[in-house]
Amino acid sequence: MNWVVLVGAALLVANTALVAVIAAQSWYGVRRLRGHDELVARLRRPAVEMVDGDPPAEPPPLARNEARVFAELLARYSRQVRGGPQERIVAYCEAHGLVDQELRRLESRRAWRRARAAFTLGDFGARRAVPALVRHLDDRSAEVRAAACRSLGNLGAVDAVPAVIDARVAARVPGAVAKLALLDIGPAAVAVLITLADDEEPLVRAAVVQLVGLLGGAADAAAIQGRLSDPAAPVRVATATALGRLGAREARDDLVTALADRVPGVRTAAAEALGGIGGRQAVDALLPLARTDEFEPARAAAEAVARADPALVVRAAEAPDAGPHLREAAGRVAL
Amino acid sequence: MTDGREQPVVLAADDDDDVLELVTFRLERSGYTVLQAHDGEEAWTLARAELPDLAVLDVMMPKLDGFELTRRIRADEATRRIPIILLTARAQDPDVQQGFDAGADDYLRKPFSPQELRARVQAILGRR
Repeated sequence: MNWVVLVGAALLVANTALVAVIAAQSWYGVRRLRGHDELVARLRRPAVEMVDGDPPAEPPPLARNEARVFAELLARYSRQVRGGPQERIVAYCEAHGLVDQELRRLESRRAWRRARAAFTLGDFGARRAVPALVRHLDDRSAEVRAAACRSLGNLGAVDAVPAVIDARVAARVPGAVAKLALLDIGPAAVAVLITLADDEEPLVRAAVVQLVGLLGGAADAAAIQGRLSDPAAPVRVATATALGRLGAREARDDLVTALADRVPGVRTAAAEALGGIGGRQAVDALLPLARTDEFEPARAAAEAVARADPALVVRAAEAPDAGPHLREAAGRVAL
Repeated sequence: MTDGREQPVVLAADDDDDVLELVTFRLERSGYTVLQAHDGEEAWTLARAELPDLAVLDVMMPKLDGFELTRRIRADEATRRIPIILLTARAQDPDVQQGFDAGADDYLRKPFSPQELRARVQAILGRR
C-alpha cells in the first residue's frame, strides 16, 4: 500500500514539475517575443533615418541585443529598397563587421545557422559573399543550398549563373528557387546563359534555353534558334517555347519545320510559338496539323491559327475535313 | 491639393509594415501628410472618408487587392480623380498592363527607390 502511495506521489510531483517547466518556458518565450517587438518598434525609426535620411542619420549607440535587432531591421529594409538606401545598408553592415559575422556563421556546424547566414548575406546585399554562397550550393543541407541560391539571386550574381544552373539540373536546389534566383539576376544573366547553350548535358541545355526565353529579348533568339534541331527532345520543346516567347519572326521557317518533328511535344510547342508569331506562311503550315487527330499538336495548331487569323479559322472549320480541333477553336472565336 | 489642407495628403496602403514605414518616412520628409492602411478594405474606407490627393497602393494586399481597389476608386464619383501609383513586386508586362487597365496613373517596382517614389508623387501632384 505504502509503495503505491509513494509511486502516486512521485508521479504527481513529476507532473507538477513538468507543468511548471512548460509554463515557465511559455512565459519566457512570450516575454522574449514581446521584448523583441518592443525593440523593433523603438529601433524602426532610427533604422529608416539611417537608410533614407537626408542626410543619413548615424544610429544611436546600441547594446548588443539592440544591435542584433537593428541588423535584422536593416536586412528587412534591404529587401524592399534599392539604390542609395541599399548601398547605405551594405556599407553599415560592412563597417560593423556584420558581413564577416555572417560569413563565419555560414561555416557553422549547425545547418539552421548556416541557412540563416546564407539568407541574411543576401539581405545585407553583401557582394563579397558570392564565392562563399556559390560554395554552399553544394552544402549537405537542402535548406542551406536553397538559401544560398536565393541570396545569389538577390545579389544579382551574374558570375554565379553557371553554378545555379548546375545546382538546378542536379536537383540540389528546387527548380522554382533556381528559376526565381535567375529571374532576380535578370537580363544580365542572358549573356552567361547563352554560353551554356552548347553544354553536353541535355538538361542544362533545356534549362538554359528556357531561361533565355524568359529573360532575353528578341535579339537573343538567334543564339538559341539552332537548338530546334538539338538531338534531345526536351531541348527542342524548350527552344520552340522560348522562340515563341521572344516573338522570333526570323525563326518562323525553323518552327514550321519543327511542326513535322517526330516528337508530339515538339510539334505542340512549335505550333504554340507560331500562333504568337503569326504570318501567312505559319498559318498555311498549321492548318494541315490542325486537321489531324493527334490531340495535343492538333489542338495547339488550331488554337494557333485562331490567334494568328481568327477569320480564317472560322472559314476553315466549315470544311468537311476540318476535324474537331478546328471546329472547337472556331467556336471559341465566335464566342 | 484639396482645399483647406496645409499639406497634400497621400494614402499609403501596404500589408508589409516595413514598406509602409519606408514610404511614410520618405513622403513625410518630402512635406506630405501620410495616411496609412494595412489592407485594401482599410484603404478603401480611408480613401472615401479622407479623399487624399494621391494614393500609393500595394498590389498584393489582403481583403482587397490593389487592382480591385484601383477599380473601386475609379468607379466611385467621389474618389475617381485621386491619382494612383501602384507599388508592386509583380512587374511583368501583363501585371503592369493590368494595373493601367484598372485605372492606375503610374507604377513603381519593388524593391523601390524612395527618391524615385518622391519624384513620381511630386510629378503627379505637380501636374494637377
